[in-house]
Amino acid sequence: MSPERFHNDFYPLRDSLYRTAFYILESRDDAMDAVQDIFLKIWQNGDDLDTVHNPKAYCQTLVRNLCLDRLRSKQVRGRRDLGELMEESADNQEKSLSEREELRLLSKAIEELPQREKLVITKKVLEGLDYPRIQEQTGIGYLTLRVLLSNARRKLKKYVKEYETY
Amino acid sequence: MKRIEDIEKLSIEELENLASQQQEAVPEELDGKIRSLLTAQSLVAESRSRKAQIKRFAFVPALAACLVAVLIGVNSYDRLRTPADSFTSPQEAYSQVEEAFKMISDKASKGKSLTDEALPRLEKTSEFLKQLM
Repeated sequence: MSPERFHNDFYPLRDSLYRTAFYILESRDDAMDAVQDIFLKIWQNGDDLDTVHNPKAYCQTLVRNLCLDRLRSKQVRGRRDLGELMEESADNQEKSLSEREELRLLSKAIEELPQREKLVITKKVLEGLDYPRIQEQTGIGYLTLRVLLSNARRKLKKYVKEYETY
Repeated sequence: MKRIEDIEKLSIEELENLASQQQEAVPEELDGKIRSLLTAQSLVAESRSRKAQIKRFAFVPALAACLVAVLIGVNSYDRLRTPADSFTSPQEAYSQVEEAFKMISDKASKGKSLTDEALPRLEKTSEFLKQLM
């Protein structure tokens, strides 16, 4: 899926997806998590979604199913012994937890970048824009763009490395 | 907390309509959080792809090192086999030449004496053959 398709057809649905998630989960934080997970899934499976004709119906189904799964997990957690659950989590989910943890960490680092660095790296990496397009949209000069991008990447690498050694 | 069975009974359109009637405002930070998360995912994917490419071509430096080692080895072996064709000291060079000529001369003398010894016998054999014919 091209970045244009994602930004034109899927990304604008985020507000209505949030409302649906909030309606089911009745928690602001849980609803935000759910929506982020939905978009992560869409982004990761981009190529498989080129044949989706109705992005709105597709995404609403996705968010409903995800939220129902979370409701079920909450109910199950309430019934089972906590120790049993922790053991199962440790054995089965270690790998996926560390991948999610890496993503969460990197995502937090991006949020903490200075505004212009965050803007440039998002436009370059997420939106897939080349330097002339970014220049056009932001009014930032070419050399400054290169410097901002290089600084952003360097800081992100350092942030992740520091966390890993800690 | 909503009941799972109640949610499951609703169609997607009904669920969407009910959700849109809520007063809950969409948090401002949601947009930034989604964009940061997806940028992070793209960076991770980029990094993994680069690591995979490096692994694929990791054998090239090792292969180059082996080739260089083989070439050095072959060159050294070749040098050891080939004798030196020049001497640093003129005296050494002269004595080597003298020795070589002496060897040739000795061989030549030995060859002549062997020929001298063999000649009478050859003549006898030649006479015998003539008688037979």
